[in-house]
Amino acid sequence: MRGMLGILAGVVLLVASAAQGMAAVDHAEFVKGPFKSGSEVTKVCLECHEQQAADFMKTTHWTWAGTPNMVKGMEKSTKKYGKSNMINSFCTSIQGGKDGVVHESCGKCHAGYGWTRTDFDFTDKGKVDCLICHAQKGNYTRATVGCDIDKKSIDKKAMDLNVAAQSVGLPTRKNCGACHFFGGGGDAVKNAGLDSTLEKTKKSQDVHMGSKESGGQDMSCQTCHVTKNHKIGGASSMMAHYDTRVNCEQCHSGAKAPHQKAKNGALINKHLATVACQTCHIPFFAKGQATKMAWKWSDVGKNITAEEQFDKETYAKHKGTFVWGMNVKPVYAWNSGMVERYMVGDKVKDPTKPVVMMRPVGDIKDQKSKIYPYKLYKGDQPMDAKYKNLIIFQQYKSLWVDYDWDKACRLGAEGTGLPYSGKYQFVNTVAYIAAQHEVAPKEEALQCGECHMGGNRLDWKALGYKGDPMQKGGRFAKAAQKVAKK
Amino acid sequence: MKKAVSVMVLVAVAALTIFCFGSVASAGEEIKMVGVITKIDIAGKDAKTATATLKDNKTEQLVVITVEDDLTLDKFKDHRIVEGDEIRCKYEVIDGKNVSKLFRKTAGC
Repeated sequence: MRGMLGILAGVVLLVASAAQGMAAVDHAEFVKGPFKSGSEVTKVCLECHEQQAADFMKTTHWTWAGTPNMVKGMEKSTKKYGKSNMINSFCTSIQGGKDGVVHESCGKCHAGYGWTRTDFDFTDKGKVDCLICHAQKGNYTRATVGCDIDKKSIDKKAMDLNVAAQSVGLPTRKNCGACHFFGGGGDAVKNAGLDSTLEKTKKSQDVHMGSKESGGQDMSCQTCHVTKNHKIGGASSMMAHYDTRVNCEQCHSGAKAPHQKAKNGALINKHLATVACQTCHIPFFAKGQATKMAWKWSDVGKNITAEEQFDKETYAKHKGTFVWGMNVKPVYAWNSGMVERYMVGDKVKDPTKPVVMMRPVGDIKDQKSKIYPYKLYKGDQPMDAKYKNLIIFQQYKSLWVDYDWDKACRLGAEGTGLPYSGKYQFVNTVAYIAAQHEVAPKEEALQCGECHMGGNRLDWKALGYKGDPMQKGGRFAKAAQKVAKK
Repeated sequence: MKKAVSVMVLVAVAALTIFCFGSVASAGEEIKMVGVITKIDIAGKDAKTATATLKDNKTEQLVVITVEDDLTLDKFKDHRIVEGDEIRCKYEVIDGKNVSKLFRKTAGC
């Protein structure tokens, strides 16, 4: 009996320690150093974690491409798409330039070492950068150029690679934020309500990430972005592929179902078939700092005086003009879970109208669709005047050096496989970027009057309704009447 | 006589109003600057305050900024913000100290 109890206790301890994972393990004992390069650290990690590296190398954090299972009309495609070969309306693409010259700059956010050209060996485990996601101390930093650790930071004694290597643990918001807070080329630029202020924030900005002292949950990213075998759950508005999706019901269901204590809980719950949680619970985004709402590349090289908008500059000679927004009220659109996406080489049908870079697919008739909140981001960028496709231009070592658009378009084409006719024109673009973070405290969630009874937050007619569904009837009203007759 | 007293009272009230509102305005005024960090002083990893000296890009004057927010203090402590970094800063003068309201690196890619 005692033996049985001993075994049981052992098993319990083993399971408990496994559950604690690497967070509980002080790696200082195993990772000795001294290290001079990131790859040297990886070599030591691989002594125990070769399988983890193999798992990681199957994910889009490594491949920057996956089957386009999120793009309407491309669901069955076996070709892979992602950051490696797509185009957006921010810094546009990593393909601009002969032999992928841009990789050496954009690769700052590739969790690997050495992807400076197109011949990068994606099968080499030794090139995985474990530290960017797992280092907790030592100010582990990747260099702006070179797809490597920032050796200048080591020289300045701002970074200690040995301390970083010995401090590995489960990723914190600081780890994920090193790239994801800076999407689009700078802090708060791309995403709606995802910026470095969330590293240490209060409940008033985000109920999930806010500190415990402020009444928040201080949750890590992977609490919602559930991760299995290094595949991190979640889908980006700008991408084509996802492994698994994240949704509020992961936690807020069953005994934790929402609105149970709400005064009008039953009435609110009737909305759930049509209105996404985010629509009421993210009434504003960019609460910590301003986000970029528009970017006109066509102003590159001009002598425009930068002004300040929400403490950010409205012009940079090498990038163009920007519009910034803070505490932004989202726009709303139907979403079935799929997106319409401009892909490299697509022809622009009508250059006088904005090119849709990304828009959710869905409508009032689709019962699976719900209304979601978005950042409506506008911009302009060059299109080939003859071939009518958006141009991938070489910015990093061409446009940013001499502001010569023709040259930048020509050099950019060398990296893309797209022809360049020698003539370009600028076209406007729009993108709907999902507002998924900065969930407000429940007291600040939208109230009935903001949408109904004269409230104008939702444009009912644009969403396909005859008017306020409270007065004109909802989209399921007809079906309900038919059911009643039967 | 009464008239003279009334005028004096009015003048005094007006002066007091200007003084009060004037003081409030300068105390609440936010000053913006962009400059390079020349020195950071922080007392240990548990420090709740630090000072950073910035060289104003426009005036080349040295301005000492007091930093109290947790996120920026963390960045000082783990060296994510170091001497030589260019900073966009907004501060308010409180009890003679330039207290930071915004302290952000200017760099982006």
